[in-house]
Amino acid sequence: MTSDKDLLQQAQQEISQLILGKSRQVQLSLCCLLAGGHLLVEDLPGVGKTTLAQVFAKVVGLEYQRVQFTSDLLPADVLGLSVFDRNTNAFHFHPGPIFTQFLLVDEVNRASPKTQSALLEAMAEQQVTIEGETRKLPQPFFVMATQNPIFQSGTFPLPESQLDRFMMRISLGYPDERSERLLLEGGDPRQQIKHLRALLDGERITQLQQRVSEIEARGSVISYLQRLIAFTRQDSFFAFGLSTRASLALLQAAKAWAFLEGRDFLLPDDIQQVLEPVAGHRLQAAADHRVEGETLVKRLLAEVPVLA
Amino acid sequence: MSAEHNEFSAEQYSRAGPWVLAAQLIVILPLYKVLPVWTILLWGSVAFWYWKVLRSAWVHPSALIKTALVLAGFSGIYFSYGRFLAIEPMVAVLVIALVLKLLELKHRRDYWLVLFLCYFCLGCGFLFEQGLLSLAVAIVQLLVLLAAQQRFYGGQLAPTASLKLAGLMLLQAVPLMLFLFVVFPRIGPLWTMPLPSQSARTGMSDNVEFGDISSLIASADLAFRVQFEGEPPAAEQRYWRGLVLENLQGRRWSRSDYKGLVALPESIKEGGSEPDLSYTITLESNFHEWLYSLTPSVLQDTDAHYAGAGQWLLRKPRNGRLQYQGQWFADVQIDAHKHELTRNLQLPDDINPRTRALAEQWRLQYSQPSERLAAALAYFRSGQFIYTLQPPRLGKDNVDEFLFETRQGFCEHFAGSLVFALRAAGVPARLVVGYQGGEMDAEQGYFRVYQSDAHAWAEVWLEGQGWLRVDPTATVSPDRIRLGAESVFGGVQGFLDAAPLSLRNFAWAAEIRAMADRINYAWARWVVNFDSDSQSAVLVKLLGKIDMQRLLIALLLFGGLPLLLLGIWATRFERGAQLPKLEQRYLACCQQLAKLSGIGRREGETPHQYLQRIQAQAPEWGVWFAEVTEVYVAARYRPGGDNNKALLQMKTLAKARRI
Repeated sequence: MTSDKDLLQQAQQEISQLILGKSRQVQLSLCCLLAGGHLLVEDLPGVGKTTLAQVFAKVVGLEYQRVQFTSDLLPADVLGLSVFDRNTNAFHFHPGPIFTQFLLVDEVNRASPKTQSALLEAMAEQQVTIEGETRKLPQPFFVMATQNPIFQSGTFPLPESQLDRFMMRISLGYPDERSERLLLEGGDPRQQIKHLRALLDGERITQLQQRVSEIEARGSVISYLQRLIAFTRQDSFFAFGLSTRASLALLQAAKAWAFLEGRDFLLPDDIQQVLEPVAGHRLQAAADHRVEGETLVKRLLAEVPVLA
Repeated sequence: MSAEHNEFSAEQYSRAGPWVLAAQLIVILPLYKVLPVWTILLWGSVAFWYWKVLRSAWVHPSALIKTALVLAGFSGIYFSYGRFLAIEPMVAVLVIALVLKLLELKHRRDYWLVLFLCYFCLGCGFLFEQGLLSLAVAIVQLLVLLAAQQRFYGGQLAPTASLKLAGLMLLQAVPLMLFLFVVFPRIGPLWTMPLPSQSARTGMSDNVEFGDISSLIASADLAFRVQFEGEPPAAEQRYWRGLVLENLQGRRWSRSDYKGLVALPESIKEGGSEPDLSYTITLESNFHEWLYSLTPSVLQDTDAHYAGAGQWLLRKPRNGRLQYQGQWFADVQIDAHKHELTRNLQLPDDINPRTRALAEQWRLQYSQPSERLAAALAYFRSGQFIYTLQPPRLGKDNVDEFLFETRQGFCEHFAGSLVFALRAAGVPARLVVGYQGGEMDAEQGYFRVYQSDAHAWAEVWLEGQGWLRVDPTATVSPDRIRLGAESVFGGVQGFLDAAPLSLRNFAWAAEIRAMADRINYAWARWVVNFDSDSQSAVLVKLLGKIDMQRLLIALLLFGGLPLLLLGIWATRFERGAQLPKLEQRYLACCQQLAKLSGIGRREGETPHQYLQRIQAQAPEWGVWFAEVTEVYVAARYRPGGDNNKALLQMKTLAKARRI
């Protein structure tokens, strides 16, 4: 167990060498990977979303592919397609970029809804069906999608049902002054990526994911989780409550967080740590309260008793 | 009180707007039978205006418009009812006031006023309906009103949760309701109000023309229930006398205006002799002017008075359910005064010449009135008459046409024609209307008499025998009398037509119908008729006797004490009682720590977060509280944590710091 913890800490440190001053976001990304979910990174252009993905992919040692979403991208460009081969007189399947372990989808909200939903379906089912044939995706399969805030022009905002498929949503934000200084004094981070060590690999990650699901959650923590969920369903601040999928995601993410903290049991603290990234993008304020998901999560944390 | 000084501003109240509208709608709708249609339309348009105001699209109407609306409302009520001083217009005025108040909802007191008026309107509904259904309606109304009221206290709950909470509040109020139901004084009416207009009445009327009763039979409504003490009389005896119609004007039979000589026969006056049968009748909720009874009966009701000819009238017409007891003297003769006999021989001139001729023939042929009566009945028996719900329409000489041409009629045709013919033959006769038969509820042992059991029969005066009941319908269609209207007309077009969905139309539903009726009967008997007499009886049973001292003690004991206990329980054990012991102890430590260090634990804080704050802000407690937290967390969250061991550790820790 300690070796797992050390290894994961090393990995976090390795990533944080290049992603400066964002240790929480790095830990959440790792948490999301270990919980078997997919990650949505939402922020303004140029704050290091893509760099985070590249560094992350390098350090966790997964087979990496990147797709840049644009408005004219077609589902086949992501999933792959069959091409007629004149030599063999038969169709041959050319797998798309999705057939990889770590897929970076850049600017997911710039593609048309058709392409978006093709991707998101594959994410949920871990398989792709093309021309009637179902193909399994490699394991582990992890999608990190980046998106610009929806008020930017030329975007197709993801509908709530699609947002639900991302286990977490995080945003990076501007770096603090010290980190930015370090960054400016150092070289171009993209140049340094090749010097990074790959500390994990696909097989190791599958093992770790297995460990995470074995973490014990006692009734007292589960009740707290249920109180949180119930509150979102009853309180009039919320347009609608959290789904069952959301509560499962919350539990799984909290377990991964506990694992990263080196514990084999769950504390209410773990749930609180992952609540914002897991629930923030799934919650909407009721029509007469104009507040963001973040405020709603704060309300949840403040109002729901931890002990009851 | 100005709105600015309240912590809950008028603007926040306006968020309760949709609920205020819902509350209004749900109290006004069930009054639809009483209110003119335009009040609902008025509500709709005023509610629309209010909605626009809420959305800041429109402004509140000016004083001029409001005054105009009030005046229009009042004149509308006057034109709809023709008067103000009656229950219905009064309720309508209340409703109009409630509706128009929407246009000046600005301050918090306005919102409260509207809500309280809604409660008042809800109560008004019971002036018109007291059945079980109205109870169900009232419960739904209360739920909505309570949910609306919650909006005035912050309104954080979603609608379904709000309604659930309202249900809980209502349930909690049930003991208090029952208590008040039993002990609250039944004060007589403080003023009397003229009762509703003609339109509100259903059932038998006090005058009859051919075709009137057959239209009653389309109704599936219950008229009354009868409970006999002892063996119920046979179907042929169950003639429920209502009114005696002596006057025939044109084709219409009506009551005689003659008021003299209305004493009860000597032999059945009080204490005269033992009655053959006692019975209790419960009239369904309706407008009542007269009572139904077996002939001849004495009714035990202070409000009832004997009006001659076996009729019992109410001193003052009443609305609602009514219960009274009667004693039946089966063999007592009803005699007649000679003026009465003359009155019952009168016929309008120049109609029905053929009947008169036939009667004249009987008069010449037979010297005895009883023989003339036998001849008339023989005529009905042999004449191939048909008992039908849909008799052909008759012209001016209706009796002639019926007796000699169409020969199809309903009970009032037979009875009316017989009376006409007998009077023409010089035999005193009169028409009686009421109900006949009734359906037995085998389980409960009472009879149900429906509007479709409405009936008309004749009475004939014979020397030495007094007034005798003669029912020509029984001659033509004996099944109607022995088995009831349903046996003759069941399935025939016209029977229960006005109630196509009534369970009475379906044989298989008989059991369900009987069950529903039993519940209704119990409701009427135990709840609606719980008057000051029954109340005193209950109180005497409970307290021994009634005096101020005992009442006060009982009030304190049954009312005050439970409330006091509830209050103590609510404040002291509000949440603590439901928590496991370990949690209680940990929270006790937290509370004590908060007192000592001034740093309180927040609801949403985990043990570790609180510990961190304590360590940062009150380090002198840090070490000790870290131990407390570790013990708690280990027992509560670690796999296989031991509660009992932790409890002991916690106790020692608490003792160490004298907590």
